[in-house]
Amino acid sequence: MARHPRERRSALWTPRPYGGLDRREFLRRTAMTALAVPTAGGLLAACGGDDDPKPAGSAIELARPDNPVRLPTKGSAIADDLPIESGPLKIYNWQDYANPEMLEKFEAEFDVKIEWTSFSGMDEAIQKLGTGAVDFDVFFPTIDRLATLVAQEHLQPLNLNYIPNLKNVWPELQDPFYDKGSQYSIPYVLWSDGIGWRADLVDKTPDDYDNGWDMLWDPAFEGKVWVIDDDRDTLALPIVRMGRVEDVNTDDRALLEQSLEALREIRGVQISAEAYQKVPEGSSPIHHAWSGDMLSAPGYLPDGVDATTLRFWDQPDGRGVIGSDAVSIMAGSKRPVLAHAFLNFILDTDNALLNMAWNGYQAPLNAIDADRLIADEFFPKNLSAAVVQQSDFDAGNQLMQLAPTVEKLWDDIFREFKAG
Amino acid sequence: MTALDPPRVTNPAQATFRFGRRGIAEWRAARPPRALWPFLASPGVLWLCAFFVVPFYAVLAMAGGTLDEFATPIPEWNPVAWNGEQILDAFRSVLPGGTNWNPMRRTVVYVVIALALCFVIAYPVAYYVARKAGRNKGLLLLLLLAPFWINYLMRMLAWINLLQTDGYVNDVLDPLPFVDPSEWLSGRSSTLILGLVYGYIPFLLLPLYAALDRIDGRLIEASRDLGIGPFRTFCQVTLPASRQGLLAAGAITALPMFGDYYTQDLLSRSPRTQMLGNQIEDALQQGASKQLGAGLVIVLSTFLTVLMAYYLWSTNRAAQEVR
Amino acid sequence: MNTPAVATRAERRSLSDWFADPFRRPRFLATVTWVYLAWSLLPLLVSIRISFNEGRSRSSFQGWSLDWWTGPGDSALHNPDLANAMKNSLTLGLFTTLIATPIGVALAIGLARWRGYGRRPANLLMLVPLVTPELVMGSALLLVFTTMFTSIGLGRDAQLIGHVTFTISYVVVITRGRLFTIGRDVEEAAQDLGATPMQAIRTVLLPLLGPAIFASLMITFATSIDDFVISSWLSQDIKTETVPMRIYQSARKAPTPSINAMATMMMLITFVAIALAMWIPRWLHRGGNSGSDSAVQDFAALDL
Repeated sequence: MARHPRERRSALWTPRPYGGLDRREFLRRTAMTALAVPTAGGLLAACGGDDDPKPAGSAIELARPDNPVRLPTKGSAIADDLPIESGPLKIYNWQDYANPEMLEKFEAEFDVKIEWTSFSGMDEAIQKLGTGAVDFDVFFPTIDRLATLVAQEHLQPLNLNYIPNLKNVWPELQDPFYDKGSQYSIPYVLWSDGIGWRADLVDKTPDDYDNGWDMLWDPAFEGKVWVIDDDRDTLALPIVRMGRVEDVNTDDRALLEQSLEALREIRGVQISAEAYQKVPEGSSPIHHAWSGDMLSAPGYLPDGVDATTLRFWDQPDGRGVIGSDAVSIMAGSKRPVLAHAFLNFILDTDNALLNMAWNGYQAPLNAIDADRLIADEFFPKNLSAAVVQQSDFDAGNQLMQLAPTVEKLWDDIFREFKAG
Repeated sequence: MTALDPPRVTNPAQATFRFGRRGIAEWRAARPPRALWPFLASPGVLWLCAFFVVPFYAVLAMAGGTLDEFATPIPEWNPVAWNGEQILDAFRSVLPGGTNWNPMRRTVVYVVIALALCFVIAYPVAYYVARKAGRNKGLLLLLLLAPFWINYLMRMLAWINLLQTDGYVNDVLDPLPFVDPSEWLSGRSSTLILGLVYGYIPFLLLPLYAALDRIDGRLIEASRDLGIGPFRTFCQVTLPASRQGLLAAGAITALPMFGDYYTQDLLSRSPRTQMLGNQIEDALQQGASKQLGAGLVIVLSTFLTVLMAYYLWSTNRAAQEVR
Repeated sequence: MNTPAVATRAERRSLSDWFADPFRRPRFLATVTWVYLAWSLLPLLVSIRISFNEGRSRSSFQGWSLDWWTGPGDSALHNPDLANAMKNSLTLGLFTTLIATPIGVALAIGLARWRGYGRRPANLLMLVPLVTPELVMGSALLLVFTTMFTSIGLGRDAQLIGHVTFTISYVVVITRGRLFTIGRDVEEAAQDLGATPMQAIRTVLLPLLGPAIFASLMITFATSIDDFVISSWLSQDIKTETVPMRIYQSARKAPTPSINAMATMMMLITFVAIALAMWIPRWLHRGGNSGSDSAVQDFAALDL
């Protein structure tokens, strides 16, 4: 059945209605009710004042939850009360990682144009930034690369006075271990690693296995299994499956090689970073996927496929790989005030909900209550496993900064996997 | 004929008339100075030096360079200081047992099969258009050229459309016995090889057409008049006469194919079909592995240079045989 | 053993038919040719047809509509990035043509006449880009623009330089083919009549090279528009994305028929450009010898 183009556009840009209620309705309603949720302890001072001495010798100090790091100051933040520049605001982000409607809203509010350039992997992005031949204003790094980017002077310190909405963020992410005092980054969205699949194309679920991850290794699904095109997530997959989740930031070559061998045992495995389109489309029936990808997947279902066929599973005890991405301003930004305004804009609860309705990824904001999202079916019920709970986030293991040589080791081993 | 040949003047008196008293000596001086031709060639030569040769130096500098404290590659501009061991590592990685041996082996196998298929398909087509098409020749030529005007990716996209699980290829093949409807795009070597054939065959057709078009038809007629059968005529006249064209066509098709990476990227995303080009692209896209990527570019270029040298050597030899 | 032998002989007969020669109707060859053409062009027709789909499917035909061409939202005309990509591709193609053709023609004339030391290396330098994989050239240019010629950097200038670099050789090869057939006689005749060498080239040689130059313009433009690899390695941001880059990005994911619409539109623009390139010489030489047919011939004679 063909739909009117306008209708189709909205189907593409916002997930479809579920349970007879319009999605947008939910969006508005959830925004209202969620805002009423008390924000306990949400008013920590953004600029905490602890001065951890940085050990000399290593190029980069590895931030860990038990070893929070205050990143070195390279350059200075912009002064207070500067006028906002005119556009365009040049943003460098993952493909389809923000709701175009949210961007349009920003464009309208600030009367500027946004120039959106996308990349398909963190390595590709950092390679391009490293050439020094690009001039983006806003960049969306993963937290395991933040310290390197700062050390190489790609990012500029933030002036948090321009970002009052940082107070909306979960307390632990207002002053995160990887960037004490939010000097260089604000949190963007949350995700966890799991398995996404289309129930009408696959006759089993991870719950049919003693260890849910074994589904990916089931020979019955030869040629149907895809893994994420990212060295960190995918090499961590067998490590998590072995039950060694606390080793997902390992520097042990032997363990990584063990992981490589395990990945090679997946028959006919393929690699992509586009689970959000490939799973609903049916071209990858089973995909090792980021949770948010599956939450945005309903918008990409072909006509005539029931949205309840989409499923997501992640480690039930919440001890899988979990994480948050960040947003930063480039050191060479020509419109730093506008860029700060953008950072503040995406931390606004309404805007974050608008973003989430299309993008699928949750923002770690106090007012956005995971249980409510599930109860109100903001996301379809069959995908509720993909909603990240604050408790999961505390229990899970994050992919964190590695020493440069270790990072190269991960790269090399992942390339060996790709070599087949 | 060279610039030093005596002037071709049929009537010396006329020449004297035209050049007046200054005579033929002066006229000779007015002939293009030897420097004119290098001068005309110079913009192109300089351009290619600056943007083709120098970039290879940059590749070497990157491959032989060092890493800074953040494992970011730093190019080394002084050839003496190049890290030769590192460049050798790239070569070792494509040898049996090396990490890139599988992609290398696969690439060679794919290119050889694809090239053979290209020849099998293109030779009869080029032969027909060049020698047998008659009135249709102009139209056929235009149709043969059409793929040149149509984006390569658009043509691949067309195949992706067709090869979907619910696409028309399966619709056509479905009713046939002993063909089961298939997941063409789930990492199959056969799909990839067909993609390569489809993408590169126009590059083979044109030089082949040109070579066959040039063959003097009288040679073939003479061979037949001497009572030699068609098969032997083909083997002993047509094929040798088109040998140069075959070699040129093979070179212009196969060598670029060795560096292909987007065909695999579009038609299969499986490690089982990863080609050397994919490994190079992957390494160059990752900051810390740029050196390996640059090293692999050198490996690929060296490999292709050997093939190119063989090609030049054999065309030279063929030219001498003709003489 | 008798039967197989007979079969073999019959087989050999039918095989020999197509090795055969000018006097028999080459049915086998004709069939192969038309099957090849169908194989090479039918998928495109399917792809074009899909751009007119009413629904979202890109694997089957679903009604007729222009939504993916002109509809609001996701369509070839209303997606600003697609429009920008088309503008970039056309500009790049135009400038590449304007720069590469004169350089290439001069290089071809120079190489054809130059006798002396330096000709062979120059000739080799011209040939090698033809067989160099674009990946090698693209990545080498990326490295040189980001480490050595940093003032050029990435973006349109870099893309233009890259495109010119890999199209020069095509121009040379096409022009050279025609130079061989022209020979030196006419040029010498002109000089016999008192023309200076440059005059001889300008007034005699260049007009004779006309078809080859048009063929060069065509192939340079078409190759530039078609290029994905060099453009993408040297691209800076969304502002410098070209049509093939957009097609590639979308084709890797799950494109809607709007991509088919954009690709079709681009194909039409190329066809118009080529048709103009073929029609202009014909129009210039009204009544005279048409250059465009031989431009096609010259292009087809593309040869190392």
